[in-house]
Amino acid sequence: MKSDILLETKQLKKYYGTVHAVDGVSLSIQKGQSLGLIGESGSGKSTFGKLVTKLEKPSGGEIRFLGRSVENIPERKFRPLRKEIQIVFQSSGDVFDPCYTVGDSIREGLHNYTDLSPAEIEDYLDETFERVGLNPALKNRAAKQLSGGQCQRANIARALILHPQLIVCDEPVSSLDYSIRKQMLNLLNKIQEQEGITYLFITHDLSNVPYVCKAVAIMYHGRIVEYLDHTDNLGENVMHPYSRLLFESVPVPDPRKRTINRELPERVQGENLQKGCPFRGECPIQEEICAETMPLLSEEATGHKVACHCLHKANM
Amino acid sequence: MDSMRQKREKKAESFGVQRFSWHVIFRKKRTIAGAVIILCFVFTALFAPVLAPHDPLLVDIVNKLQGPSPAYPFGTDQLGRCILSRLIWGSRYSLFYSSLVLVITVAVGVPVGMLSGYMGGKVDSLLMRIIDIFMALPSFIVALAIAGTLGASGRNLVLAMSLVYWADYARLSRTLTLQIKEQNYMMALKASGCSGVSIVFRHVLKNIAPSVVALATMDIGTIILSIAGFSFIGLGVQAPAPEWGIMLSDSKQFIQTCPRLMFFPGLTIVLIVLAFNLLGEGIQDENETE
Ligand SMILES: Nc1ncnc2c1ncn2[C@@H]1O[C@H](COP(=O)(O)OP(=O)(O)OP(=O)(O)O)[C@@H](O)[C@H]1O
Ligand SMILES: [Mg+2]
Repeated sequence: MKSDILLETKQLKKYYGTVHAVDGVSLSIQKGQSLGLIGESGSGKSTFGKLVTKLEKPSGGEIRFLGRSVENIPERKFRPLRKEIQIVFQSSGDVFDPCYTVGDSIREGLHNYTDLSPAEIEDYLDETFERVGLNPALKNRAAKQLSGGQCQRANIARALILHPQLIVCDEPVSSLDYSIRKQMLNLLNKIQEQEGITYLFITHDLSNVPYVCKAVAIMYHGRIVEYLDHTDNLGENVMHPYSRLLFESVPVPDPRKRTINRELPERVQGENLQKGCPFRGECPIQEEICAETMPLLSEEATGHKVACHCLHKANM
Repeated sequence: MDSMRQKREKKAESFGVQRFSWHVIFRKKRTIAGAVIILCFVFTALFAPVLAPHDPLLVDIVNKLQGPSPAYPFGTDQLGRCILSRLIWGSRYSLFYSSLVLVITVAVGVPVGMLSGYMGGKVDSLLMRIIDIFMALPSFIVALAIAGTLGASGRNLVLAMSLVYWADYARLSRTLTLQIKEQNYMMALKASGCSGVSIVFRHVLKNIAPSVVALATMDIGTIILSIAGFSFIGLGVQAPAPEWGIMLSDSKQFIQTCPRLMFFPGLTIVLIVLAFNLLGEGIQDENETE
């Protein structure tokens, strides 16, 4: 089944000065097994997405895409592969050149990778707009003349139009209001089923994940702390104390069922992050060893890896 | 000389990434007035042979220093040449040479600046060093040096001024390119498979064009003034060409006896520089700096 792996990273790192945005992430995404990447703000999710699409240069580690090692190849050689890995950016409004219309920006990809005639390009563009639920007439507008939801759809249209095998969706719905979120998730789901596209689905909203993804990785401070290759009953299955905390902080609709969040303890910062478990400052179950050695991912059950020293306590 | 350089650096950096649409620029009367005056000058320059009542070079000593008359509306100069005709033909020198300087400086400065900003790294350091050297050059010294080595002529003056001014445009373009490079749409273009060349010349260029135009309209008045000034002191266009600076220079000795000789070219220069400044400021006012 090795050939089914679309994307694989090994010990991927990105340091911005002293900030370790991504710090040794090893993940793999299989064809048809969309992966959800979850983590709080600043945990390095977007950076990871930009690394695997080669929009940022890694500080270390390996990236294999479609069986080729790509971390060191020059842009010129990677360009043919870009067609197969597209990205939907986190911010939607400012990803279209303000000097051109949205349609112009989306056509750009077709010009670069296909030799369709102008009429064919137009037809295809209209069709793609309709597929993401946009009126094709909007292609002649500038991005700032579109609403947030329309912009996000245009963003998806741009990624989709090249028929990639993998799309990195960076918080595709978090800028939208609740009523549209469901629609967008449905749309993404439909696309993935109909066209066999796999996602790296980046989000901090856990409730989206089981809906779109077949596997999930939880990130904290640039590291993967937990990985599951299934997404059923996520809330019950996660083991890492940070993951449990994430699930507790998902707002529960019924106020009587909400547990009162305990006060936020002191976070580990600066130098101390590089030694021991980065989560220990907030961890309810830490032991002495947590301040000394960094916990590594270890398989706790089939397809379920957790990086924690004190799991025996967590599940009591 | 340092203060001069700092002034130029400040000027180049005060321009952000700007956007304006051409129809809003002309909302203000002042701007329209500036544009109309400029158009009149352009028209005059284009149709000089038809508009000028006399040959601007025709010497008629008998008729020298005549006051205004129906045949010679602005009178004649010390050699009996028609002042009006000389002013009309003179607009060709001012507009042609200043446009030439602008075209050269923009054509050299903008690509160099964009390249420097976009490539970054060693290329940027090298180009920046070169730009800095040219930023530090005072235009007067360069004009003097070029006139001294290559001879004083309009063409060499254009060369001298281009040598000095391109650095302003390079610097501006570099600063703006650095800003634009940080924008998310640059990453998106790369993700869509655009090559560096296409990104720079189709996207960066289009985004910085309004700022470059704004700087150019601010500069052109100064350039016109410099051309007249250098010709006045003999480092530019040479007599007997009917250039405004030369006309001023020729009339120096008659400043007491016949001030008219100095008045008309002086007024013309003031008028055109004013017109360009009105237009330049109008564009500045309507700019939304990001
Ligand atoms: N270009 C950059 N220069 C310096 N630091 C950066 C840069 N981009 C990201 N960082 C830092 O890297 C860390 C991870 O950022 P990243 O954008 O990947 O977080 P994220 O998980 O996507 O957060 P969010 O949910 O808010 O989008 C942050 O601390 C951020 O400040
Ligand atoms: Mg992000």
